[in-house]
Amino acid sequence: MSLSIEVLKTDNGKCRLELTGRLDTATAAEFDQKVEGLDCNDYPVQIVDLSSLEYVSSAGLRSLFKAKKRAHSAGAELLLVNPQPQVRKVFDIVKALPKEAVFVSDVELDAYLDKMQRANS
Amino acid sequence: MNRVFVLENDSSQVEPVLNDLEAHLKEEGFGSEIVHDLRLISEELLLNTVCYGYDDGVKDQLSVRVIREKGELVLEFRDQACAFNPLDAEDRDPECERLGGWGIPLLKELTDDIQYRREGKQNVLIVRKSA
Repeated sequence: MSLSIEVLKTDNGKCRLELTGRLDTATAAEFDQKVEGLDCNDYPVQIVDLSSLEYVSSAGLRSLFKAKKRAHSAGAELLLVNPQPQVRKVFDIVKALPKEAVFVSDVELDAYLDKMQRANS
Repeated sequence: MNRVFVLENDSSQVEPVLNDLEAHLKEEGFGSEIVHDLRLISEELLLNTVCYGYDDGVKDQLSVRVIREKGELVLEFRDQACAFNPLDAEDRDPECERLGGWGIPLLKELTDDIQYRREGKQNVLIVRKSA
């Protein structure tokens, strides 16, 4: 199984990348390429939906970490949502991604985004 | 159950071997969690060896033997790369911003026992996991 990435863009500055399959050494470059194609000015909130991601290795983690740094350095934010147990286990072991960037559900993510919106308005 | 998977020290050969290993473990009836963990461990170890274990131009053949033993699965990795004992690798500082270095923590956390020895020119790494 490889990786498929669906990119859903909205006109309110958010985009959502839905990952299905594996993010590993064979597919990390594909993810990198998709992320590089996102304009951080047009999409300051970049959400990576992991609900159908079945596997992540350190090559995949490196890509997620890089994507987060890229967004941050451009004044945008990259947030991860819905990691499945096997992916969450890997996140927990390597502690590569800050806990505040990973949301266990869309409800939790939406609450965070609402809070951010209120703070900025 | 005793099966050997072989590949050359070429990173493009790692994924097909991982796919074969995963298919084999599933055929043998192992659950999704152990199959996931063993694929991940194998990816980390094989790629580390293939990418960092050799001087330029050196050719080698690596093997992964899968053995079922009294309630546990044993994976035996063999190669003739530079001597490398992952048990000697320092634990990664989680505060460090450097990318990577996550393979060893994954290996240690996802296995029940790890043994390393150097046999002549060979690295032999044996990992065990309850099954």
